[in-house]
Amino acid sequence: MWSTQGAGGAEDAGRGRSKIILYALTAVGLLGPLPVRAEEPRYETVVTAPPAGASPAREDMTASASVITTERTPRSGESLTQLLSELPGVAVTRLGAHGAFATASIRGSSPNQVQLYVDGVPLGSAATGAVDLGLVPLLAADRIELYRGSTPLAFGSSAMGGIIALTSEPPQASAFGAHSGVGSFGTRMLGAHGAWVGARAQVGARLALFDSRGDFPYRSDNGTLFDRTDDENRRRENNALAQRDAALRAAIALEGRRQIVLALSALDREQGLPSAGTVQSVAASLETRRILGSASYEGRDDLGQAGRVKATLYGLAAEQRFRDTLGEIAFGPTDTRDRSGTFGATLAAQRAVGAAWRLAGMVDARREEFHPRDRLAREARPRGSRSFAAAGVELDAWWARLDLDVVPSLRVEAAHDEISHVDLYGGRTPTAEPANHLLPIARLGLLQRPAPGVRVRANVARYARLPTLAERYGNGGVIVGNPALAPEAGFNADLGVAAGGATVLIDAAVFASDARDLIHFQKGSYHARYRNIGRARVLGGELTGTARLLRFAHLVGQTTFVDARDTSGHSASDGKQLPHRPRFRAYARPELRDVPVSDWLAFGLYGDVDITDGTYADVANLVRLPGRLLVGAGASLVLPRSGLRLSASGYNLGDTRGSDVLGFPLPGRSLFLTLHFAYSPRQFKEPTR
Amino acid sequence: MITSRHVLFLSLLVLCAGACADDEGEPPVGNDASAAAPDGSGTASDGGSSDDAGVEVRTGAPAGPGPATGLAVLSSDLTMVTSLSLIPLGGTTLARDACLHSGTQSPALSAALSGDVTLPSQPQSAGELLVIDRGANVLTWIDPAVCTVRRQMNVGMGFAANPSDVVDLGAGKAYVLRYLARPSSDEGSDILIIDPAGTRALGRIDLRPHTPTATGATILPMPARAVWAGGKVYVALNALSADYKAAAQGRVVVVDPAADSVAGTIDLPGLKNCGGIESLPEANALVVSCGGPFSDGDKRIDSSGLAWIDLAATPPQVSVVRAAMVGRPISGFSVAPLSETRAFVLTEGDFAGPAKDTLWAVDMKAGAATKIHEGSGGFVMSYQLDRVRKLLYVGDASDKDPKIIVFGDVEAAVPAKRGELKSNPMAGLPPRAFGFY
Repeated sequence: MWSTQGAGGAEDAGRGRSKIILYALTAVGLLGPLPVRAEEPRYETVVTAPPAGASPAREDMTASASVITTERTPRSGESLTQLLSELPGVAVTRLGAHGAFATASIRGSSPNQVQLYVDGVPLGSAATGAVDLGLVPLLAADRIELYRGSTPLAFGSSAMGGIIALTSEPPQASAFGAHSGVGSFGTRMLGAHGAWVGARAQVGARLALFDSRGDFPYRSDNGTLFDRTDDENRRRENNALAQRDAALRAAIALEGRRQIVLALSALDREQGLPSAGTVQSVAASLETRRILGSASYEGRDDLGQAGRVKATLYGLAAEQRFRDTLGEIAFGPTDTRDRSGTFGATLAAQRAVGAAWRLAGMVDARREEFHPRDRLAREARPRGSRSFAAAGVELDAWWARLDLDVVPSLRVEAAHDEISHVDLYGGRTPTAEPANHLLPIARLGLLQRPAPGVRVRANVARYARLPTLAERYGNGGVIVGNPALAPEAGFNADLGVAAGGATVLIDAAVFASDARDLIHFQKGSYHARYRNIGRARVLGGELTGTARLLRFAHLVGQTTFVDARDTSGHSASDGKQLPHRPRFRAYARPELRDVPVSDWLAFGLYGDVDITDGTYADVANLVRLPGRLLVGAGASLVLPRSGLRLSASGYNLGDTRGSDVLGFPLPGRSLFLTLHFAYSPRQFKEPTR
Repeated sequence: MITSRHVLFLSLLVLCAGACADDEGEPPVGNDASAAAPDGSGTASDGGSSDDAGVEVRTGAPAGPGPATGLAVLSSDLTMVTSLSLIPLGGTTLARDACLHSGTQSPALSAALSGDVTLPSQPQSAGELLVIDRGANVLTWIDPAVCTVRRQMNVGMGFAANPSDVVDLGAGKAYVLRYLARPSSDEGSDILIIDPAGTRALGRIDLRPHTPTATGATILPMPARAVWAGGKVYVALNALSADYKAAAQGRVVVVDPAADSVAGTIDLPGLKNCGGIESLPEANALVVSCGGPFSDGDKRIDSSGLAWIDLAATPPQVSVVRAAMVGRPISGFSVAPLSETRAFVLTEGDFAGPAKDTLWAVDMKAGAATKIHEGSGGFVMSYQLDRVRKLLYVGDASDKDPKIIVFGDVEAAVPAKRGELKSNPMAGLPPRAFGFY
């Protein structure tokens, strides 16, 4: 982490105050771009598979996990999509640049098998399933945890592929600041944050504005792959995005080690929806408004010395308006306004039972409602709902002689779905039968420490995934419902070892999974539906390494091999690689962090390489999208005394063109620059680190 | 350096040599060839020459499609990829698997073929194989002897035109049916006139003035399929609204290729969503299949059926046979007439229910139907009739066992199974569409 402030006195403080005025003017846009420091800017940061000595995953000690914190190299123009793509086991599929629809596969899973939580609130909708990573801002993410192939008990609903958890942290010091940045394709960023820390309460607020034209260049083959004479260079059209997001976090300390934490975040976005690159859309658009909040009680004195209680009430309300009145993307003219709401509660507790046992439990209940509205339809589209409940227990038995933790857990998830059936053309047909699902989930985790600094872990688990409402009941459009859909189910197993310490840390794991009743999209001439026709097995391995050299030099790297194959027995797909699952991925980033030049100046440098093997676009493995080598680099300059930081980042500097999904080009070379300012009263009182 | 692609290419050449030899001297096939060359000589040309690319360039008055030299079958997942295979005329085995497929060439922004591809209703005049990529809005002309692409043309011209059929008129002209319209424009849902050899547009024929109307909805022509018959081109219109929720009465538009203009229309009373059209030259008639609009739900069957159009009469006389005789809506995508007393039609099963696709032989005079074959599910079946060789090819796009069943003696009450083959052994994709080339 870059650092800080000199042993200044009144003179420094005075200089600081005068600069504050300057920065304040800058923040409101009167003097153009500036700002940086103290708390990390949300559009500026970087990944890390656990850097040497980094914070371990909080919720599960036996899981294969990666953690991203604010203690990382500052980068301009970051996104959650990019951060996740640099982690082991993750394959991200994107449709375009910043804010474009994106999903994540973990260890060869489908995107629907990945659950994403923001401050304990599940973002995955019962209606539509997979979370669009492009719609998850980094603003409030102080910490990102990735659990590969496992679901820690503390999370309300499980996921076959794994869990991505974003959490915001209460502020540690009073501060305020702002950031402003510019980037390729007409990208502009502006934000501000402030925090107040009192004796028993802390409040932090963040606000960010982001807009981009998204008009990156690409090469169109005009659909005629064999005829190069009509190829041309084009710019992506109808790809502009304007986003405002805000986050509020407050913590109130209670007696003892107890606190109440409130988290609230909101997103408001309008974006154009580009169609395939050969025939560009001109008017299709998507508006998204989302607000989510949670209130948690956290106590560490309620269940004994090693006990912990966390009770969370949460809510999520979202509205999406999809306008395609020209029928450029949808099956005919479409204008929908879909609203959804989720309200729930999670109670997780654990306590020590003697010296060698720990018992944990969790209950979760929530109600999700989906209110679709088709503004062009003859009839209102019917509402859908899911009532969900889960309960689980986990025992951690420590066998002292072997220094072995044995962690079995059981959970049961139950869901009740209701929706009225809508036919292909929006007409009402007899109400579909409600569906009840009961999913038993079991897991056994082992952790052994054979030597100092060495941890061996193993997991085996059975997971399941509920069908989404859209999969089961259709979408009132092209997708026809299939009320007979059963949940997907499968087994995961992994074996890993981590060795090292503060300087070097190596983590290696092998994993396998077998998933049955996979819900696959099946298209007919004029309809589509989902069916339980898939089966897949996945074998793979991950290797992660982090090193810290000579205090300022760091190296992070990971490589993942995934052999994800269809075992459905279907003529076209059996034995073939699952689409959009690269067999090989690697990422490496050497960096210099916070290298002091003098008391008033420090700098950082990094370069990164991202290698992705080619993937298949189709189940029959006929179309292989070429692999990619992406090279990036960046630098940051820090003026610790003034709280200023300037970060410049370049992505895909080799201008590699390609796509994750056939027809949807990804941007080439792009550059971003952010100036960040932060002021903290503490900043001028603490000695330089 | 010799790559696997070279090896594959050479293998295809060897295979081709055998297949081409088999094809020599074959008579023209089906209604298409008969229409083009009534004397059965297999020559539809009125004279001409070949250009450097081996494309026969004909001049003079439109002469219609050329003779058939083989049967093409498309196998697809209907989503991402398609593979083209070739069957020799009268054959029950493949002449070539994966002659062209989505991965034939490394993708750029597009693949070689999308997952939404069809074949023209009738063969091309130059003996080429034409593939209509509806998803990419692209026509691809292939030399079937060596399975190489000769040329391509994007007929979307900036919008998703969804080309649905191509009628090669000879004389350096072809009609491309563009199913969809450019949003907020009068362009599209029309006939694009092209020079197939030069891959350039020559003009367009606006079908909107000749489109039937429906109360409370704006109906687009949505031309589905077309055939050349007796010097005219007959175009079946789906006549649906842009959101597919309203349909007008079925109609066939008659186009005069000499003037490139609409010469008349033929209404199909009581029928809607008409897309399958075939000519029966020996009877001087057309047969049209109408599926009824999907938006009618259970009432779809009310406007589904077959229309027999007697072209010898002036004006043409239309007789309608309702789908009620087979108990389910008839597929509006296809029909295969053998005579007035025998036409093969498909009733679609449930996409998400127990009913399966079923192939019927219908006597349009008597209004009677005989079940020929039941598919493995709903929306899995495709078929092609070879009237000359009395063969019926039935594709079944089953997930686990996709195949083509060949029936012989199609005039018999229940045709006998002649053979069975896989349409795409290389990739295992299921068969979706047939077409003579």
